[in-house]
Amino acid sequence: MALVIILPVLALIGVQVTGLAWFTPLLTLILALGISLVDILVLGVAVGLFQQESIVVKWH
Amino acid sequence: MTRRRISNILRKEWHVMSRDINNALLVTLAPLLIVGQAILFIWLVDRFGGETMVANPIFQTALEKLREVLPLVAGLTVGEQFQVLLLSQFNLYLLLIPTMIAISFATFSIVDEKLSGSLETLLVTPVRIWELLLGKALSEAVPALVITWVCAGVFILGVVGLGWGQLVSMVLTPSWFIFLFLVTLAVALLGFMLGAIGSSPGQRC
Repeated sequence: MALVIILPVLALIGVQVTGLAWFTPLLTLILALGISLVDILVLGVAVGLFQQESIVVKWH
Repeated sequence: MTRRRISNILRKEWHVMSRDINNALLVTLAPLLIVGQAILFIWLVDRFGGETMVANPIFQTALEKLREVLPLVAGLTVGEQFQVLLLSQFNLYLLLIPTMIAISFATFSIVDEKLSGSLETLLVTPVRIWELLLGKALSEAVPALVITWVCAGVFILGVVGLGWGQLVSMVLTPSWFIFLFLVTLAVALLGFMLGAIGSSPGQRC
């Protein structure tokens, strides 16, 4: 799971250190907004998985 | 009511965290090692490989981009511009700290709840699952944020200590602070959610 975040972070370092792109304030804000949206999506997925667990617990 | 439930979860998680010495060491020592490693790497590159790397076409493109984005650096020598380029990567490198802390806490928190049997109890209380997960995520995001800020401060002190203090003002751009306050928080929450997903389904302890 850590690789899901670490590899993109390393890719971002690679992109910036090679001059392909530079994180201007606007681009950084867009990045923060994008990650926040992913946060909400992943929270939804996690809630779904935990609800499945809850059902299993209740059936026990 | 939701806020009260989340704050109760926060207090409970911090209470559990504060009793675990491994967590305390993970949160304090490992991030400082990451900062030390970054400072050492930048110093080694500057000391032994700077001239060779500056001549590389890839880094020349990067320096052109840097001069375009930060016109102030045009007044510096090429070597100093290269230092600014390297130091500017640290805000991205800092994102590894909340990631590491978040995923470790998520795994510890969920697995510990399962081992102690308290997860089942929690899941049948009136607390909603999203409140539980958000409370747990915030409980690790706050220390992760604080530690990341401390590490950023240690990094700046390290840079000044190495005699590059005149470059700090060019590194501390608005983007640096957006990374430090917004992106770090978003990454810490994402790390926790992914850690929770990784340690929750089908992995019965």
